[in-house]
Amino acid sequence: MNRNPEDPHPRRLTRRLAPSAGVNLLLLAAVTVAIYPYLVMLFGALKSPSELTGNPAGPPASPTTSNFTTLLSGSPGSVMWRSLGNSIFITACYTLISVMLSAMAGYGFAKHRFRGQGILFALLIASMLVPNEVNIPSLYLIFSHFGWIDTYRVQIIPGTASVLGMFMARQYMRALPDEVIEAARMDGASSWRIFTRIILPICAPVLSAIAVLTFTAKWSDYLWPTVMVNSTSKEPVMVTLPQISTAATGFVVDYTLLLAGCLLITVPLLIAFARLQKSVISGATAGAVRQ
Amino acid sequence: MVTTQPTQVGPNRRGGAPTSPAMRTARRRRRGRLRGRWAPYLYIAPFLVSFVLFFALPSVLSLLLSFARDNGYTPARWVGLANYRALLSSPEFRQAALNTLFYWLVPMVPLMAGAFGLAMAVRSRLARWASVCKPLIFIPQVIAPVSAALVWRVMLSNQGVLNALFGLRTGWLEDPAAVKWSVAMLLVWRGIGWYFVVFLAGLTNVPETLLEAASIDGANAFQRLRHVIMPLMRPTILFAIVIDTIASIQLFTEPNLLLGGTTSTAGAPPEAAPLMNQIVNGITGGQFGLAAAAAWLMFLVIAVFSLIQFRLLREER
Repeated sequence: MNRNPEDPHPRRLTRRLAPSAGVNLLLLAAVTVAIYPYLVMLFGALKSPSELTGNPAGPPASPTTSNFTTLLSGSPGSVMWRSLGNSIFITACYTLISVMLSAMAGYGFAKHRFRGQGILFALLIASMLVPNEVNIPSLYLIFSHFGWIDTYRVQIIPGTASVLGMFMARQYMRALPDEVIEAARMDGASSWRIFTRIILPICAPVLSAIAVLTFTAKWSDYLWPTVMVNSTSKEPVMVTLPQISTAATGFVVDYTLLLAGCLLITVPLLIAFARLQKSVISGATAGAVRQ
Repeated sequence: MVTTQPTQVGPNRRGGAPTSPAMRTARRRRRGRLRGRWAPYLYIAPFLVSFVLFFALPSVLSLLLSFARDNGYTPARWVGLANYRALLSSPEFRQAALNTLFYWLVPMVPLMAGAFGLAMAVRSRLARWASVCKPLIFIPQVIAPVSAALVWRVMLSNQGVLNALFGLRTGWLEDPAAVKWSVAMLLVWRGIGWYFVVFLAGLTNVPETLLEAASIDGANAFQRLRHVIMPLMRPTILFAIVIDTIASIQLFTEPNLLLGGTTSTAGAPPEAAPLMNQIVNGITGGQFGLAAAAAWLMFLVIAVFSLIQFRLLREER
C-alpha cells in the first residue's frame, strides 16, 4: 500500500518504511512460532525413530509412511480405528443433541413471553459461573449408581444443555423480525412447522457456529472420558492416542508414532477450520464484545 | 350463589346451540392462545430437563457431598467442614494450588501483552498480509490440547527440537525447576491465538475517526494507545482476563500429558500437578467428599474473580 507509485507524498513513504518493517517482522515471527510445531508434527510423522532423535527440528531426509502403517494396522491399528470410530460417533451425536437443545430453548426464550421467563433466564446465565468440573464427583457417584460408567451414553447425553449455545441462539433469533413468524402463522403453519421450516434455516449461521464450537470442544475433551470411561473399546481417540505407543513398543514412547497419530486427528480439524474459518473465530469470541 | 355462576356460564358458552361464525373463530383463537401459552415451555423443556438432571441437581449434590464422607459403597456420613480442613492442611493440595497459581499468572503476561500487540499490529495499516496473518496466528487453537501436549513433548524432550535448535541440554520435561515453565510455554503457544482474535474483535469497537481526531489534536501513538484505545478496550481486556482465569483454574490436560512421562498415563508429577488432579485423584481414590470439597474450593476462586469483573464492568456504565 505504501509502495504505491502514485503516492502523492513520497517523503512520507521513507518515514513509514521503518515502523512498517517492524510490524511486519513481528507478524512474521508470530506466524512462524504459531506454525512451526505443526511442521514438527508433519516432519516427525514422516521420520523413522532414529532420524527423529538425530534431526528433530528439520524436514525428513528420507520420508517414510511406515509410522502410519504401523499405527493403523495390527494391534495398535485395531485400537486406533475403534477409538476413532468412538470419537466420531460420540462427537456427532453429542453435537446434534446439543445444537437442537440450544436452538429450541433459544427460540423459546427469544420469541415467546411466558411466566418466569426473566428469572429462569437469569438463573441459567448465572449458572455459567459454576464450572462443569464442580459436578464431576457427584456425577460419578450418580452414574456409577445407575450403571452409566464406561458406556457411550455417559459420553453423549450429559452436558448437552449448553447455556452458552442457548444464549448465542437466542441472541440471533431475537434479531429476527416477528413479521416472518406472524405471516407464516396467518398461512396456518403450526408453531413446530414454523420453527423447523423457517427459523432453523434462517439461523443456519449461528447454529453452525454453535455446532463447530461444540464439536471441537467435545472432540478434544480429555478430562470427562478419563474419569468416566475405563475400557479401551469405548474410549475416544484423545484418551487412547497418548497410550498407543506403550502398547505397540513395549513401554517405550515412540514419538514418531505419536506424531503420526496427532497428524491424523488434527488434519480433519484443520480442514474444518479452513472451510468454516469465519464461524470458528466468531464462535470462539462469542461474548467477547458487548453489543 | 356466586360460586355456581361460572359453572353455569361455562357449559352454556361451550355447548350452547347458537354457534355463530364469530364465536367459532373466537374459540379457535382462544385454543390457539392456549397452545401458545404452552409452546415456550415445550421448546425449553428438553434443554431444562438435561440442564436440571446433569447440572443443577449434581451441583446441589456435589455441595452436600463436600460436607460428607462417601466412598461410593457405604452410606455417606456427614462430617461438616472436615473435608475442607483436611484439604487446606494437606501439603499436596497446597502444592497443587500453588502450581495452578503459577499456570494462571506466568502465562498471563505474555498471553495478554502478546495477543494485544499482535491484534494492534494486524489492525494497523502497516500490516501487509493482515488477512493471511489472522487465521495463521489463530491456528494453534485448532489443534486439540492432547495433540498439542504430545507435539510439545517432542519439542521439549532431551533430544528434542528446542534443545537441538539452541544447543541446550535442558531437561524441560524432567528437571523439577523447568517442568512448570514448559507447561507455561505450551499454554502461551496454544492460547495466544484465541486472545488475539478476542482483542481484534474488541478493536472494532475503536472507531477509526476517533483515532484520527486524536492524532489531529497532536496525540502521538503512545498517547492514542493510552487515552483512546485502552479505555475503549477495557471491557474486552477484563473479559479476556476472566476467561483466562477460569480456564487456568480448570487446567488439566496440558500438564498431565506434557509431563506424563514415558508411559503417558502417569500424569504430571506432584511438583507440577494442577488443582484439577486433586478432584480426579479424589474420585479414583474413592474419596468423593474430598473431591467435591476440592471442586467447590475451585469454584469459590472462580466466583470471586467473576464477581470482580462484573463489578468493574458495572462501574464503567
